[in-house]
Amino acid sequence: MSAGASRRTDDGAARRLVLACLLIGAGGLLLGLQRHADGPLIGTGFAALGMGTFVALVALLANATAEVRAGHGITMPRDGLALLSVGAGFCGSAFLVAGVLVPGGPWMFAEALVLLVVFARSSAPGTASDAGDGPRVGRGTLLLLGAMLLFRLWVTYQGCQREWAAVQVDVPLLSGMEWLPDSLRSVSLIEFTAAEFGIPESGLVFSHTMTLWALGFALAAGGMWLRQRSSWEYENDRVHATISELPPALASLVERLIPEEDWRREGLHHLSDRQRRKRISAMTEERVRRQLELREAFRAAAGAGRAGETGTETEFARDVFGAIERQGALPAARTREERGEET
Amino acid sequence: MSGDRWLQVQAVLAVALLVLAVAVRGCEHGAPARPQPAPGDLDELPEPLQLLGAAGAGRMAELDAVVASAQRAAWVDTRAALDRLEGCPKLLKWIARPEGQRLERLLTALETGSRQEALGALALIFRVAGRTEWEPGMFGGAAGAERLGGLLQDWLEVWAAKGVDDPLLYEPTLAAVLLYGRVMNAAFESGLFGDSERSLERARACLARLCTTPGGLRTPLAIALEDRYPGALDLALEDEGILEGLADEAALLFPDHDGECGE
Repeated sequence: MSAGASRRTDDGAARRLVLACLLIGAGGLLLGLQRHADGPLIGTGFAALGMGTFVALVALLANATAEVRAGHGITMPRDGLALLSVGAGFCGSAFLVAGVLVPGGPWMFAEALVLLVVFARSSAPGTASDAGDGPRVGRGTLLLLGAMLLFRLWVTYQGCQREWAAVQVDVPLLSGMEWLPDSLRSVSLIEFTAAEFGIPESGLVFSHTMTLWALGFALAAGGMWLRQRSSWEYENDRVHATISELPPALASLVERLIPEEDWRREGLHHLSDRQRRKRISAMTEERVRRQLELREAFRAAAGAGRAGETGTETEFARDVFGAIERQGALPAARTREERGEET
Repeated sequence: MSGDRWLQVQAVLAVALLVLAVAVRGCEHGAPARPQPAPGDLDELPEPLQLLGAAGAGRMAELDAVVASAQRAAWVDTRAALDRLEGCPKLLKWIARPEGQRLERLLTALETGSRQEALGALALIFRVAGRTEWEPGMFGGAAGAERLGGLLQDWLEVWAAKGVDDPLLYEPTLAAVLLYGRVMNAAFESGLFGDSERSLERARACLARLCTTPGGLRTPLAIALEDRYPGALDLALEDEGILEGLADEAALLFPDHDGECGE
């Protein structure tokens, strides 16, 4: 992170952003480990992570495309902390996806396809958040990821029990005939092999592995949520810092003309200092012009209302006119004396 | 440490965590290392597994020198008595005789002795398994197999953990587990009209104690067994399958130790 950035911005947002990155890193670390039956912690392999990276990349591109369509152009992180945030966001998405995908076989591809669609839809135009912030994980996506984690935990449990199917349904009547082969007495659904699910021949310690994954998921998901909020605040702080370079009275006027809730929508996030200053100047000019236009419109409305133009005699028109007038927004009606002086 | 500095340290830590989170996925568990004998370690008793097979009778005398003098006379007498065994007597009857009783006392003494004496004790048990009848008949009677299983279990309880770390006892220890599985499987399958669930439960409890820690991890014995005889022992199995793999391996390794003197 640059020293300038840290000087300009509120420390609170920056600290929360770093904390979010730490949480994502810790979560990814736990999601990448499992406990071997012999005792040591071993990795979960790279296949699922590769798939997670692919999904995160597609989400990032979809988000960037949506940003371009929304007219914001492609935004980039502007300092070290923002860059770390984007990197952590990308890694966090990949870790979350990799953490819930089954580690191999056709099921991994099927699940990845579902997540790909969900991530791409969550980045569709109108729902795009901020490409400069990296991929985001919404509430619905998080719920889906949680359900998939549960499925992964279930099949891992089955694997630890040497049951190589997600579900086994007993066939009525036949299931009681022990002399029949197992394949006739029950039907296995969603079968898999130990190699497909990355379960070593000697097995896993399920309780420890489940704890690692559940904790890792919670940390990574929590980190992603905190990162999204803090990143927004961090960028707002940068905008605020730029406006604060103006004399106090002028800065206050600019903040009234361009309120904080408009900063992100108006594309003030993820701009360089020079671009942000130019954009604020342009926006100030535009908003002042709009204010003046509005005043002219008030003046015209006042004239029309008092002259009793056609259409203003209805009750609805009188109500609206009265509402505007009560706020003192209309120029005061000139007295006869004032008019006489003019003549 | 100033706020900026602390923030930078945290940021570096976050980067390190992210890199580590990717790197750990490649961590693998290496194959277990088999204990390697030091030079001269097995000079006095090379190829210890031979002592347990049917052909090991000719090498039993090699153990005379390693048995403590207090037990040597009993040792020599017992191995000679086992050599003289003819006609495949029933294990229960033979062990009730004076030489059988002496064998049991000798085993207790040897099992608390040195590693060479432990090997001697195991060799005696294997001789009994090969020269007596313990296979349950058609109408049940698993007592002989249970008795032999008890002798093996006693030895394993004392030496299993130490044996897999010992170049001399490594193979004999694994062989003892295999034979235990075969003997207890025979006890379980005794009789024409049903299985002996109690034998199965006893064997399962013993194997679980020997092969898993209280925390559910595999012991070095289980790891060595999986490495040397893959698939022979599957502790996750609920049924008799837990013994069948061991029994199959034991039948390949010691075809004469079938409970009927190989006849």
